[in-house]
Amino acid sequence: MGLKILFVAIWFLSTASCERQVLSYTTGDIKIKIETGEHWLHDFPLFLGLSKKNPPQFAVWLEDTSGNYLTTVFVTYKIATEGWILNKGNRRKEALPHWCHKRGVVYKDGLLLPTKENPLPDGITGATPKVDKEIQIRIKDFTEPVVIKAEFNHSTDFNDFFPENAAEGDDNYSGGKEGSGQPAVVYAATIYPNQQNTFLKLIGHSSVDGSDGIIYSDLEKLTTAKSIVKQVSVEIIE
Amino acid sequence: MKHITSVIIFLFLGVATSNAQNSSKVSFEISFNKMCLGYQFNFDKAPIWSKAYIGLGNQDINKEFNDVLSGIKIGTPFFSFTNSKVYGDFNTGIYIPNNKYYNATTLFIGIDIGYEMFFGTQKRHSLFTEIGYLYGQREYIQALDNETLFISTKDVFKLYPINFSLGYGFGF
Repeated sequence: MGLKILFVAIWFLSTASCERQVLSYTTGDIKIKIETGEHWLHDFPLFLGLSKKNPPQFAVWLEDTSGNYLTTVFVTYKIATEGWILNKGNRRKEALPHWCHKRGVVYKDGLLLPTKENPLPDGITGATPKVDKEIQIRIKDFTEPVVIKAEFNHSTDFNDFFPENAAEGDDNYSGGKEGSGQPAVVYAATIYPNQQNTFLKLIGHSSVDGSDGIIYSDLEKLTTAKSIVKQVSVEIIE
Repeated sequence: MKHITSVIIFLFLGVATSNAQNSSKVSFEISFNKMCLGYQFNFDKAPIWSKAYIGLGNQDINKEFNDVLSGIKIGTPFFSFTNSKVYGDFNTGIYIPNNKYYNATTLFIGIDIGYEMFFGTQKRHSLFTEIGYLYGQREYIQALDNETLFISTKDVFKLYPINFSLGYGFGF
């Protein structure tokens, strides 16, 4: 009897289809698609020479055409909730400094990074995807152009120009051994209500140590950081 | 949810009503992403055992040991020795992530190979280790709707595919 019930349970389980989820777009909706690049996954060192393939931290937000921050549309969990695990107390202000400074919310410790006590809202905070990511936006009064920006960064993404052993105070100091390495890269594009397809352009990198919100257009010293993302496209649904 | 509840009831009913020999066993197993309590019966008509288990996992977004998992394993010994055995099992169940960001109750299936070593005068105690493959993933949608904007994203919750655990069992 028991054996029969067990087999029924297994059959029941195996026939339980995984529900496919689909984002349902309507006319005027904006589809942002982030396509992963060659270096989307980066080896993050653990212990005994072992490492883990980590996707980057990133944020996507809107600004008006004068550069004023409007709203965040997606941000990865670790930076949105101070959900770092192996940070040894480092709040990682070098992770996404341009987004932090644009947002301009100062927390109790004087930093611009969300905290465990005051994280970003649930609906815009998500797990860091290991594959392409799609974000649907519906701006309820979309009559004026807006700027979409996206900032991406890996931890410990060191190269010859941004080494692990850079000393605090040096131009290429990125947070030390557990820090960023190459700085965050920023993509942007202006979208217009009547323009169907747009691609975000790489416009520069953020502050190496996270001390300011400036975008630096010099990209020569970046190597793998330039291929974290293959492409960020925006489509307005007709 | 009804479907999931039905599956859980089926799983436990299956194990609880099986015709068992005297050698039932309770066990505790732990790995880097889960800890489970199990209750095992041996079927008397075939060299097969079944184990129902329930436990906590940390595989969702917040990495806290507050997710719930439950399932059954059906196994058979491959090689038996005086004080040990090598066995294989089929593993299936439900993983329920616990966080405020998404609901993604996920069904999973897997297979394991295990080695169990018995000790004590009546060989009631055992230590075991298992390694196996697990498959389970579930798509989910998150959304935010306010006065000016509606935002929605799709993502996938995927269980870690490698199962490696250590455990202790007590037979009675």
